[in-house]
Amino acid sequence: MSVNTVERILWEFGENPERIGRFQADPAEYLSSYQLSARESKALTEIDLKTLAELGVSTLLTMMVWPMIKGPEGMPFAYLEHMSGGKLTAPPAS
Amino acid sequence: MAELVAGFCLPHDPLMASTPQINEQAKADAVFEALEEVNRRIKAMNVDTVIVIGDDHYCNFGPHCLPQYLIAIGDADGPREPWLGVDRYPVEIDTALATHIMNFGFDRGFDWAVARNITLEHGTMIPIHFAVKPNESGIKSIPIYTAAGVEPLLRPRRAYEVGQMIGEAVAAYKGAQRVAVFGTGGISHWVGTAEMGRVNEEFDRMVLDKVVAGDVEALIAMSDEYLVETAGNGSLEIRNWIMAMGAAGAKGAELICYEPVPEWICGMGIAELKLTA
Repeated sequence: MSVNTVERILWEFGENPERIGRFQADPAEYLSSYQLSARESKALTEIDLKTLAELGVSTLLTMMVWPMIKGPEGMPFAYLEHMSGGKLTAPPAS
Repeated sequence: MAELVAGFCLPHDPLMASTPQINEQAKADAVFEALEEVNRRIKAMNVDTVIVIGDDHYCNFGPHCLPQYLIAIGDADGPREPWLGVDRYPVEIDTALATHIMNFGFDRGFDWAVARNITLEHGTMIPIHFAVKPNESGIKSIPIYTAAGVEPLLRPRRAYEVGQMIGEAVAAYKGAQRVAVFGTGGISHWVGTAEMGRVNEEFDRMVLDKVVAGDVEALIAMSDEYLVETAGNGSLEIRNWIMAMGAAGAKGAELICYEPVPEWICGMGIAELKLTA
């Protein structure tokens, strides 16, 4: 229904990382208790943080949850590659 | 009476703690040395308490509750984030002065949000850890969180007014504390966006020139749209510097250090505010 609910879901991941396991075990079931649009549910299920950011979700949250879901070794470059739509091929220049 | 004797602007970049070793180590070392210098200066001025102004990064506060400005008056520890690599430890708050500042504001139309017990996230904990060093210095803290990272954002003019009120509150306090104020964050950085790692040195030096000139009005006049476009969403944190300049009645500043550090995704500026012309 709004980025507010998406932000709540992501913030709750940070507040209680145990929720991530429940989400990953059954995303549809986990998200069923929240009011979300089909696009928001799809983006959350696919961990499509780029789309969520484009919808207006705070990048403070997308950056926070990426390593929690994908693993810290993907920070920052795998995250940046994702957020740039796969265009990033090298670390940012100094 | 209490006295505000010093003010500083400095970063609160969490990567200083989590990734202290970088390829451009000379830049990192210069920043760490500048923060040591801040610590030396507040100790030389016999500071008892540091008011540390930072912002929450959707860490302590969530979509259910987003304070415009919050003062911690009771018990605190930090850091909140395990990934900083810093073991959590207690941070002593100057409860008497913090409570006075809270009440002083309430009586003058400043409706603080208040934390009586808080685990500090990096917005205030990093400057406390690196520049207050409470476990070594014995200096107390008063953490203040602003809405400078998550919308709805604290208006820069209001940040300045809150700062002025803080300065007046310190001056009106019956205690004998010698007080410093830290405005933290910035300068240019893109947080969580595809541009993360970019630094706009030209913008950073322009901001520092304004701080050195004591031109707080120029900082207040910068629109959020301009800041985000020119210097990234992280540059919105200059309202923390504006609040500190208001508290200190800053007439100018001495630049201690500036380093653009892409590996720390940030332009790192450290300056001491001048309290008199």
